[in-house]
Amino acid sequence: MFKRNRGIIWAVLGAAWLLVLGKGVGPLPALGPLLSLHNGIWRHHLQEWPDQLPLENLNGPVQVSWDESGVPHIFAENEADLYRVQGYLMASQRLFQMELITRVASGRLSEWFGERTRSLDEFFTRFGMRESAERTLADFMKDPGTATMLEAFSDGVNQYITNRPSDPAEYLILNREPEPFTPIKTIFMSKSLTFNLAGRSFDLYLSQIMKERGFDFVMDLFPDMEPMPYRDIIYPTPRLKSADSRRRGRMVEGSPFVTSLKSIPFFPWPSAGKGSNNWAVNAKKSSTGYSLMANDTHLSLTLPNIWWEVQLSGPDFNVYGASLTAVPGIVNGMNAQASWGPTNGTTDVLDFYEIEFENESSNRYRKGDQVVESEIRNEQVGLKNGRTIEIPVIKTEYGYVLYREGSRGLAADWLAHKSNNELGALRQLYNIRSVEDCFRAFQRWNAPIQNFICVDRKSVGLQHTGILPDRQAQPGRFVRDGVQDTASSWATLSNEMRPRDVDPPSGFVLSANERPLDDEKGVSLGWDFEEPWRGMIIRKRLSEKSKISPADMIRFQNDAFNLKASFAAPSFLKLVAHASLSQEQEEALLAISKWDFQDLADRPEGALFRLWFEVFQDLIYSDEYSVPSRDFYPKESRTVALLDNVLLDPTHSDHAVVDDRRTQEDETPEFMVTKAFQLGWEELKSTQGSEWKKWRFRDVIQTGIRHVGRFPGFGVDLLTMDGGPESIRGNKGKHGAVYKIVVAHGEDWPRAWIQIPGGNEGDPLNPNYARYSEDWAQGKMREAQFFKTAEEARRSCKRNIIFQPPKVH
Amino acid sequence: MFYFALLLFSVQHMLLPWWTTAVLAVLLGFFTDMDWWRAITTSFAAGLSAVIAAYYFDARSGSLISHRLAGLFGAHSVTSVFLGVLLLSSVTAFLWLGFGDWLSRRVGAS
Repeated sequence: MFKRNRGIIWAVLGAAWLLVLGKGVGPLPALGPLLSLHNGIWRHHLQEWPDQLPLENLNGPVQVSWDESGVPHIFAENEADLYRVQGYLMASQRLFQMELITRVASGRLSEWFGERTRSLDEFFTRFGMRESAERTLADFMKDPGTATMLEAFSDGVNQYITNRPSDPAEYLILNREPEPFTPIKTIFMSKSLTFNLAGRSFDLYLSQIMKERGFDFVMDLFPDMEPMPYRDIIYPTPRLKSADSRRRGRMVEGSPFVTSLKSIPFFPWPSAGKGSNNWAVNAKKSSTGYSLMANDTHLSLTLPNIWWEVQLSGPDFNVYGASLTAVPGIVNGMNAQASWGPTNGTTDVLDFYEIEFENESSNRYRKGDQVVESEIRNEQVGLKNGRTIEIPVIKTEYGYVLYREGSRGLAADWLAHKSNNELGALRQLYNIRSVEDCFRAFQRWNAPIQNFICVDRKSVGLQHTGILPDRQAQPGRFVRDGVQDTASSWATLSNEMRPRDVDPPSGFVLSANERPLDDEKGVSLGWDFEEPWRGMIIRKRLSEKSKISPADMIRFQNDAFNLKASFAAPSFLKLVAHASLSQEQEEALLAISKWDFQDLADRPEGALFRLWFEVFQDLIYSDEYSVPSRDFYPKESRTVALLDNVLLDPTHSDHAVVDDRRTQEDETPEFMVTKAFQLGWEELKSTQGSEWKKWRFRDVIQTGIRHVGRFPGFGVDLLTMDGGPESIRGNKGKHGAVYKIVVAHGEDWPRAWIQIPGGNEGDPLNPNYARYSEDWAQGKMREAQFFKTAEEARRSCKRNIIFQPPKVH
Repeated sequence: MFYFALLLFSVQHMLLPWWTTAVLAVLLGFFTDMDWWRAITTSFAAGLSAVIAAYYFDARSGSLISHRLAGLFGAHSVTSVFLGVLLLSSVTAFLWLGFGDWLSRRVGAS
């Protein structure tokens, strides 16, 4: 049947086919091993738990009870055993995520994903993450308790890797094997999260804008503080010592340095608008007579979730809460007497310096009259094809050099590189009994800066926790001059100056990533914080009722009220030119005028307003300077104030901002507001059809939970969820409340209600994967089972396992 | 031949790595007198045995595996996943059957 000379063709075709199946092509995975019936995805085994399981290096038996929600309750006689079993269990559910997430900051994604992630890997390598992680690990390991946590946890993960029934699906898709876990991976995870929370800065863009439009323009659109009344301040001003009296007065930049750098280098800016909420009411304000605490942390919505719910009961503590993936212990949670939880402090800890090298190829740079040698460390970034790239990491006294332009360079000085012992601080929390104990534990917390809420049975407290830059002394609004600005070390505030509030007269404390301090009263932590909307609405809700119940706390967490819309929509309605609108558009405007400002998923009002506001900002800001991203527009609070200004004062300078500088015509606020409405209308029409009454907010916000590695089909699309970014819910679509808890303290034992979208199970082939996603979207909470004893857990849970030390023969 | 191949490939799929489909096909091509029709039915047997096994394991997982694979490849239904398995295994067998057959003729000719 086959001609003789075709043999070579068969062989070549067959070999090529095998190569494609074995290695994959482009985005197509290696289908051979993936679909192998011998050991590929079809042979995936779910983890099965026997009643007893031997585990190396245990000192005694460890009881694990799984409750109906899939939460493990671990009871151990010593801490090492506790974290060893925690590592084992977490790896059994989250192995892929644990490795993926630790590859981000270590600059090792390209070994898996190739060129797609190369720039990210190169960035984190140049940014000094590897050296920083090594330093942090060395600091952590000095504390024996922290060292035990890290080592035992890693050992548990590695024992699971050895015993795993089959590889998680993602490894099969990538055609990779799990790598052994080491303590530095935990550090890389924390560095990655810290960058996500504290890696934003406007400095590069404000320098660019200042070059184009001048200092006064920048100060007008990006003011030191939000315009009144669109301002929420978390803390009272810390008491100033006499030596600090110089701080009084408005934050002033001096004569700012104008950078000569022409380009802005690649920088993976964490997205703007990150939000979290925490608030608490003390015993006097609570309807139960005991304190109540609410916390919802907002991060990228992923499956699996970044949090992993667990109870840890050790020799002298018993805590319940959420662990971070790849990190031992508990970060947010409670014990019998107290509870705690963070929101991101948002304080700017990233400054940039322009460096002047001797010449294009030299690594010696000028500092005042001196010439200083950089420290060079050669790092390697691996690629998918096995190749490696050599990266010279250049460290100066002004931070790590990210970019060079001729003899000039740009160095990034990140205060969050300076760690203390954050893991040790968290461990110290397990035994706290009071708000003061809680603050004491956080003495060892440097980064990322967080508003930690601390609650005991009767009292509530909040503290801006971390190593705080003194922005009065070091404004850090623009790129700084590395030659002349010789005071290169950070000016920081002492721990005693950390803003805090304990049992204020209102009976409650709250934070929502907004401005911590009133700069006009003498201490500044910078100008750039999240919008005030969530904080303002939480304050309003808590003030409206004399007594707050646990049910109120849960209801507030699900609040979908859009405060920004309540301020901006009336101004829009006053300015819009009705003459140029259609009958349908008039009807829609009437609906907005009657709107209660609830961003409801299936209603059109929220969708219309959202587009209207976004397009209005595009229209008025896109001509002002050449920074293209919406992320680097002036704050929304400034835009709302601009609407007030142009409405009240026909001569106000904001009319010039509204005007399009690129045209000869004078674009009035009325014209721009109307044009924004019509453009938003057209966009909704093209995406959601011609009947405006059928437009839905949910289709604009597009709430969904993506897989952590962005694998198609491994996420949950389009959930029906009320609320937008401005509401307490903080729903940004692909970013939102990844963890929610309400704790009601009591005389004997606390009760808590919790929700983690996706649940604990991180294996996409497990039926419990993506659990609670719908419940979460609907705002449902479930009561946490926080057991007092191992015996109680064993009786209450159907599935109990005893991890045993190996038998000695 | 079809049933014989079905049995052989079923055992191979379950016990040996995926690329041994090619090895088995070379052997079948070498030791069996192949014509086009026989090559096609034998390749189909290889694909069918893969689908049957995949379907069994998928049912054991509550159809989660095929569901995830469909999502991963942007397929509209899980049927596409099983058709894909059929195709991949059949093409592998076909190409290497051809090579085995060519080899046997070359050896025979010499």
